[in-house]
Amino acid sequence: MSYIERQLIDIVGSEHVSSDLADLVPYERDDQFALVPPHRPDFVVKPSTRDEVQAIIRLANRYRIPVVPLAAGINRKGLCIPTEAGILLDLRRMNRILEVNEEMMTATIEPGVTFGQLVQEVSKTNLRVITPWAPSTVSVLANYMLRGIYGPATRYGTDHLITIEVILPNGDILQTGSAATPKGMPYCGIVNGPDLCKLFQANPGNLGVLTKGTLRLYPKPEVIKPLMTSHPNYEAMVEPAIKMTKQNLVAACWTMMFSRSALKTLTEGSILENFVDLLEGDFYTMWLYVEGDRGQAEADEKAVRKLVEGAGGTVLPIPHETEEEMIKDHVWGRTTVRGWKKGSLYGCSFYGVMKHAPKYYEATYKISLKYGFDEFHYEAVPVAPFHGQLAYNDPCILWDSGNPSEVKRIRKLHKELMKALLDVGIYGWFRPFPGVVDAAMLGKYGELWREIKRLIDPNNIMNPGKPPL
Amino acid sequence: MKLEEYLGELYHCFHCHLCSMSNWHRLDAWVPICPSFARFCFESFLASGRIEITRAIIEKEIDKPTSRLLESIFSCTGCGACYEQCKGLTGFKANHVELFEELKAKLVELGWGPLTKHAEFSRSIRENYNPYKEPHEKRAAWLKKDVPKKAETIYFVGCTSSYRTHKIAEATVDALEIAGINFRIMHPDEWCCGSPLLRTGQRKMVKDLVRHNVDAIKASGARRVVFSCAGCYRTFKKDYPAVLGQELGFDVLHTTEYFSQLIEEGKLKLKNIVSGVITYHDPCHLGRGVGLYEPPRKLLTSMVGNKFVEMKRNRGDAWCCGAGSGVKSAFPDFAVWAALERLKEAKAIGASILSSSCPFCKHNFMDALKQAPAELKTLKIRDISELVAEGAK
Ligand SMILES: Cc1cc2nc3c(=O)[nH]c(=O)nc-3n(C[C@H](O)[C@H](O)[C@H](O)COP(=O)(O)OP(=O)(O)OC[C@H]3O[C@@H](n4cnc5c(N)ncnc54)[C@H](O)[C@@H]3O)c2cc1C
Ligand code: SF4
Ligand code: SF4
Repeated sequence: MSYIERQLIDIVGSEHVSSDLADLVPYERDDQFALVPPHRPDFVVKPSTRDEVQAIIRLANRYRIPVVPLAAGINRKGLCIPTEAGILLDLRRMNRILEVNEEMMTATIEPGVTFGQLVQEVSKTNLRVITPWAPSTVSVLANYMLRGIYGPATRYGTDHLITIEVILPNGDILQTGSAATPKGMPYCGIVNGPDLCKLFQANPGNLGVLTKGTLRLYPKPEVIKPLMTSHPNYEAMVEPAIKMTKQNLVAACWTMMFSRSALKTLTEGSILENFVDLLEGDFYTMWLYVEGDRGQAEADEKAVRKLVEGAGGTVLPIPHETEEEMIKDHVWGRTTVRGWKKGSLYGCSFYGVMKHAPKYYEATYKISLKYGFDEFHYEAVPVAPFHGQLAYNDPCILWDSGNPSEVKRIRKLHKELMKALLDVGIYGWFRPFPGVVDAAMLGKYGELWREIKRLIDPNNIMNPGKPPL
Repeated sequence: MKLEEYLGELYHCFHCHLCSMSNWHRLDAWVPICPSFARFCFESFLASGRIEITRAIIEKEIDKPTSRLLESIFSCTGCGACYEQCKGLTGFKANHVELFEELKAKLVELGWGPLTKHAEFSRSIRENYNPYKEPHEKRAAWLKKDVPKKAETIYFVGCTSSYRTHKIAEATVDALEIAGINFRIMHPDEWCCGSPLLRTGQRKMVKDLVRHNVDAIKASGARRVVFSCAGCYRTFKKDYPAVLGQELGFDVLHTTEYFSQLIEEGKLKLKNIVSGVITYHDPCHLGRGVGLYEPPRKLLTSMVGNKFVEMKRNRGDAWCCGAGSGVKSAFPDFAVWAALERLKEAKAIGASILSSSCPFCKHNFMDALKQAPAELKTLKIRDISELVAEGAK
């Protein structure tokens, strides 16, 4: 046993450390192995307290050992693959909900808390958690820290983290916002100076380890009603989507395209399967959720229907079973994993301008077909606040990661698709793969970003190999 | 399917970890479902981790065993809860239970396994036709009455009820008698069904056991075999035809199915013998293994009406008792821990009786009860056969 392993055991106990191949192999690869090469850690360590994390980080910093935090490991971007080996810091034992504060409309949690766990706890109150359309097994703090995209992002945006507690690479403990004041109240992020919580956001675990975070909860709506529409093409969805966002009619507005073959795979075994046979070509649809008190929701629904129909769209009837599933997925996701039904899902999500969604869609669909992938899906979602017509975009390809020839094609496609999007003009990448953002291409911003990383983590122990590169 | 043939499929597990939690949409609750992950908390003890390990073994990235590797693979209880959560929704199309059994067989084939404890019960089966190191002659020592030597119906008792949970065997015999069924037991021709070997990757001897039992049943002229053990039942129903490559030529029924039929036919009438709340634990072999969920519930409700209350995790979402696939012998503490979790769940819904329909579950629950804190000690563990026998008297 190595000296380092003995030290780690001293910190967390022997049952929470392993350097055995059997324990390491499961962390060396994720579903994006085609784009992020597998790499094995040297140790898996499972702390359960802030003090333990602090001791591990101090040890790692002293001996310059890379540390990769993992809160659930479901990021689908290779962000927990230990590019330079080292310690895989599995935080799933730190899963305490420290407070749900109805008065403050906040929850304070540890990084191992999943959406499922938090939704269950918060459901005892009149509040709700803003959830991604992701399996509820993912970590709330990791997701909010990375800034995710949420079902109701059209009304609630993507900014739900107020303050955080971070173990910095030298072992110091940073509290941000009002949590830094002597009384340590964690409910306000915007005091005394810059909001340092934001500095740590969208950095994939490479500036320190979050051990606690306080986040926003929102009033639980009386009614959640999903609507599904159909449209002749992508262009036809954009105008009504922009209008209903600006008029705040919907909490969620997902404009989507499914190629017929993608839809066939996605609906296989569900009650919508037969519906696909009726389609002649690709399917253009909006998934809209009206929410609020009953009167408001009814009025919003009426206005939404008018906008959809006015733009030549149709509001489709939704089978009861599907409607129930859509609501459950909205409150706490599960069936979203269907996107992987072909074996894997390629996605290269980014932020762009809502009115340009058809251009992004066309450029990426063309490339997908060029590489022989016809199971294509596109989504563009207006995000609050909608200034600059901020929209989350995701060109997705259902593909078979068990097929080596498809692995090769996905690699080539990825490069071409990124270039095409930059040529069309996007705002920037959403939770990028490690190699996608090159700080060197971002001018002074990139330089400063790297400088900040050097300042906070001079020994580059925190998740090396991830942006900023 | 050989282990190597799974390789392409293994790349389709995308670590979504649905397999760690019960179906939260159906239950409206957030409750763990994989006992080994809930207990050991390392990725290597969850289906997704075991899938990566399988891939690494096939690709020869892992080329020698460590005790930890064996612990990770053999602590899987084969409960199938992961498959239940994953199937249909994700792109992973293999059946986890079959995959992990194949993996265990591979480890044995490579000489990395079996675990010492598993090798011990394999030896005992060879010598005594049971895994408990008990003499074969004593297999029917529990039987205190005469039963016919020839009958259309055979009651296959199984090793656990024969040597460890006699009451289930006695109760089954009583219930069959009350219903007026002409039945026999197979002793001395009843041998271990082979389940303990199949579940621990020790396949060598299985064919002999299968052939022996099937030949003995056929030679007896019986048309129907009834099982009070969920494990024996699943093995006969699913594994035997696969091992033999042909249909069995006789009917196999679990007692909960058979008793339900007898009630419908008016041959068995049950009265309520329970005063408190009763709940039911789905044995993995019977529930997820074969899909038999309703007959036990029908029996219980016909006896106790609305005093029958479900635990949160039921049917396909049931929590495993923790004993299966050789875990009870190789990892006794873990098995008891998993059983204790179930006892707590039963207690939490106010049950005074936790019923099941598998002697192995009962055996493990009874062991857990011995170590349980005082507030759980009042819980009674009953097999449905026992309740039926009492209710029919
Ligand atoms: C089917 C599916 C659908 C999805 N849909 C969506 C969606 O609609 N919207 C969305 O936002 N996301 C979606 N995701 C992604 C999902 O939400 C991820 O959970 C999320 O991005 C974070 O992953 P994680 O919780 O598993 O964290 P991890 O993968 O464990 O970590 C993510 C990153 O954060 C770092 N990190 C983790 N914990 C800490 C910590 N305590 N301190 C510092 N760094 C840390 C890690 O090193 C890593 O770089 C989807 C995923 C799947 C599988
Ligand atoms: S086994 Fe299935 S449910 Fe579990 S992580 Fe893999 S794909 Fe997801
Ligand atoms: S079979 Fe049971 S114990 Fe084994 S991995 Fe699946 S859920 Fe876990």
